[in-house]
Amino acid sequence: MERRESPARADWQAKFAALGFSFHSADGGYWNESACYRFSASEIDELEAATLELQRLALAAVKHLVTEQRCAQMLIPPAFVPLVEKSWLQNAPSLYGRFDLAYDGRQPPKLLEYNADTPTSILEAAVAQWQWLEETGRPDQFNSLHEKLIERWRTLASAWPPQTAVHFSCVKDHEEDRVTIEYLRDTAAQAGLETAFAYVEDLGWNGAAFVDLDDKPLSAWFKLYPWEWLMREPFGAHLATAALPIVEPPWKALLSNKAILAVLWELFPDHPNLLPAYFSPDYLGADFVKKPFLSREGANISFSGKRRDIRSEGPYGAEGFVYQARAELPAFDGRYPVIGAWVVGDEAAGIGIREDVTPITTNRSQFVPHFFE
Amino acid sequence: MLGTVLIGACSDENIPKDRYVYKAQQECVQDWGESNCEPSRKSSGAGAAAAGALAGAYFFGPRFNQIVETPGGKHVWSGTPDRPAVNPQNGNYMGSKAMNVPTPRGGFGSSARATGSIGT
Repeated sequence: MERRESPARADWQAKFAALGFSFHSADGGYWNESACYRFSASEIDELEAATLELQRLALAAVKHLVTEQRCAQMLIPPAFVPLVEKSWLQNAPSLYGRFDLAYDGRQPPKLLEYNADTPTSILEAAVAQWQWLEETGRPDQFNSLHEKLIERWRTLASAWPPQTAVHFSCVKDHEEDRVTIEYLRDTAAQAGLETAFAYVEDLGWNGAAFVDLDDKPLSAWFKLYPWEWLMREPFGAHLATAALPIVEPPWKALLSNKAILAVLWELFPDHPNLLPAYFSPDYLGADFVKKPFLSREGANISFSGKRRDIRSEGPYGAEGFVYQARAELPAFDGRYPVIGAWVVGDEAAGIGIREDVTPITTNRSQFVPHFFE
Repeated sequence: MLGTVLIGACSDENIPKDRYVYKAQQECVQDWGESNCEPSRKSSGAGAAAAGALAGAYFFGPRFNQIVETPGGKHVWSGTPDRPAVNPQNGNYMGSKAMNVPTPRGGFGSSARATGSIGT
């Protein structure tokens, strides 16, 4: 694994705009193709194997939490525990998820966190970096995201009544989410599904079903909106009675909580792809990372240690913290890359790399393309 | 055809605007109980002709912004068209099938306004 300088294409902004990837220059420059990461084939094999293994561990952890009735420990409100448990026991299908990994090409990939419910950066990983690969003539890329998403939608649709339409929802005034959801909607359309769009804020409840602005009842719902928020908002009370297939399914709420890191270490201690993690810092040495159970985009993460303390701001933490041993995040040219390893269904489907100038990957990080040979 | 007739009647200015109005008795009773629902009737005086045309066509529930005793013996605020009451037994919005109450919206999204970032 190495970071290489790479000449940026002269017209990459226009080419991305044509793809619909409009936020390439957000926050001072989100997409960065003046560099790229090179992997060997064996390193990609290792990342693929680790992704599959972590998905296996994650599903085993969900099974454990449901069987042992530990949903409340994962901050699932009591009224929603039956919904979460039922969705797991009935095998409600998942579309995708993204493991964030620390990796340097020498040590085994280590799980930093699992973005299981509302992962973003998928348009960049699936489409933008693939265009970069084709136009720069690099040999190959770990990326079958687009094809696997289409195939996965077909699998999901096979369990729904014929002609089921999928409504896609995100919040208003958020360009990245709106673009992301339009891409996912396109993959569903390419799978042959009828699709529609409605902002989360515009949804209504007619007493029996959630409805869009035309009062058309939702028959399946993809929401880029976290379960922990849905459960705590006024319409949340209707989720159990709506009998609506929702992607991601309710059981993903157990995995999108960072408390899952402590549960994974409890169930699989000393696993080579996990870092020690606990609900208390007492079992860790001087170097550890304190993560709020429900924080997003690197908010309220703090590093404690002998070398230096780093802290990010944000509104999270009142819900509790998990304490994780500090990973030796490698620095390449002064940048700290995190590997976003995607699963579609239960299959490893590719990686995307975001790098930051600090060991905390935030919403100001840059996406850098990769290839392998 | 039936739908067309009802939509046309729905815009009739003689339908009261100060109370819940339903197309079917069952829908009204489901929300408020029999004691709080009554069919539309003929009336005398101004507008009687038009009111006569409405007789029996609709069922009237409670007036808005009142305290109403439900069949379960609980007293609830009857709400307004913009803020319909919540059924204390099942958490549903009252009047969700009433003709003159718009579908309640905005029940999702408040957390995003409070925290900003959504995706991970």
